[in-house]
Amino acid sequence: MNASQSILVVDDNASNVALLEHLLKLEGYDVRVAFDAEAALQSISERPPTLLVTDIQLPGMSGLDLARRLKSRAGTSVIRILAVTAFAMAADEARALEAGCDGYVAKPIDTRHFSGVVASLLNRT
Amino acid sequence: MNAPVDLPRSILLVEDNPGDADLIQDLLSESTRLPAIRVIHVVSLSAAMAVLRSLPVEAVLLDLRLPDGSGVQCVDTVRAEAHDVPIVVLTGLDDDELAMSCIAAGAQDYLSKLEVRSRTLIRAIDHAVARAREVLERRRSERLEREKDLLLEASRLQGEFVANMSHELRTPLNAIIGFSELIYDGRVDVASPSLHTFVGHILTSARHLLQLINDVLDMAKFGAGKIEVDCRSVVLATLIQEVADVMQSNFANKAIVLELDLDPRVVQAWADPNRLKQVLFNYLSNALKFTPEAGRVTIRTFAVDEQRFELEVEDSGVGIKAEDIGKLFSEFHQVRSSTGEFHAGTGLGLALTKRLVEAQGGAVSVRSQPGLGSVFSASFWRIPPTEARS
Repeated sequence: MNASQSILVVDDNASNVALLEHLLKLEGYDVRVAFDAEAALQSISERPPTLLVTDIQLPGMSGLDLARRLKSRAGTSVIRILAVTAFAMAADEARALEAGCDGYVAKPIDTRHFSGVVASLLNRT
Repeated sequence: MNAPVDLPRSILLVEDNPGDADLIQDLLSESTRLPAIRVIHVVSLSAAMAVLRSLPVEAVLLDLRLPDGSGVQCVDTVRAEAHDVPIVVLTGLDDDELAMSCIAAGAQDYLSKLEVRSRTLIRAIDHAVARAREVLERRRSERLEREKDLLLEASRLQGEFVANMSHELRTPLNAIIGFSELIYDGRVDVASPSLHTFVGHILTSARHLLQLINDVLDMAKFGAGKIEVDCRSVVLATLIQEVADVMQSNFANKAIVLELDLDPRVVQAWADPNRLKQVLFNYLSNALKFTPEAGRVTIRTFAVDEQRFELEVEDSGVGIKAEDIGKLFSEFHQVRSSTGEFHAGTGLGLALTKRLVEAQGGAVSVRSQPGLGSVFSASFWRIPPTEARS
């Protein structure tokens, strides 16, 4: 039922990518992955996802810079962005939202509620 | 100006001429200023020193022709004994040049004995004391300001460290809790190969977490001076090979060639085998982090002389900017690579390595060329330092 909605997962930690990929595939989403922001931009230019789920601390361009970049361009500003990060202080959430992220989840994630967060972002109009 | 209650009560008069001493004492007792000034009178520099060492003195009236000293030297002597006590110099002649050199040497004021009146004498003493207090006060507030800056910096680093630790702990916990929860909730097909892969992620992450905790504990032990180093004679090549074997697959995953270049002259090392391995492991982990795919990392040893050798890890990584090199081995500092990339760690690895090497009687160093790579090095003893000839 969710297969029409595609999600791009960006994280430099292979275990975290595998976790998010499995979790989102369980919900039936079309999931792609990237290990840094450059690869994510490449993937987005080929086929923009509905939702970007991104780590913040990435090698090279950070997840926040990636969010700013996507939100500042007409072609990609509609992509919803969920920051999933181990930066778990209140100021970190504020920074993520300020950079243009639509949602924020601190690691370690709660796998029982994560799909609800994703669904609410996707259903937001 | 200071309130009267702060006016000096007790001064030291250093004057060997009885006539001059009587004159000064008379002038002081003529004064109606309260509190009255108590005069401690001595006739030599050495007696003045004894008083300054044992009694509270708020100001010194100092003659410049004494049996055991003369001229500016008198001021120097008093200054050396009492850094902060105000000095008013009494000159016999109206010698401006001498007076100025006394001021330069740290006297607050000077008076000509020929011209001095009760009121001017008291005023000079009060002003000298007030000026000295201002200087003290300013120095004190500057010191407090410096201490405050240091505390703020320490607290900032501590806060940064806690934030980093939180980040570093949460990253492996995400995989550990996430995959465990999925398996526990029956959301992973037990018949699929994914189960094995996911348990592998849990295991890797848990081991990473353990490493992190060990680093932090080691660091805390160093902080408390409780690190144990048990040096003995060890076969170096065996230790190096063990570490290289453990790390081999991590390098292979990034298609990085891990090479050994061991000096055949260096067979034995005088070191704690586990601590030496930890040093090499830390250097290799760093090299792994900063070396791009298809790079090259070399473990090298070479004899410095009959007594010492160097253990080096050279990488073909991105290198370190010159301005960051000095901070590399200090705690809580995380350094960006020369390309501006930020590699998260606990900020402890290299600080720990430095202490481990120093605890074994060696020293760490690094040289780097941005774009070409870095060489991290640690020196060790080949023989027990007690047997080393100087």
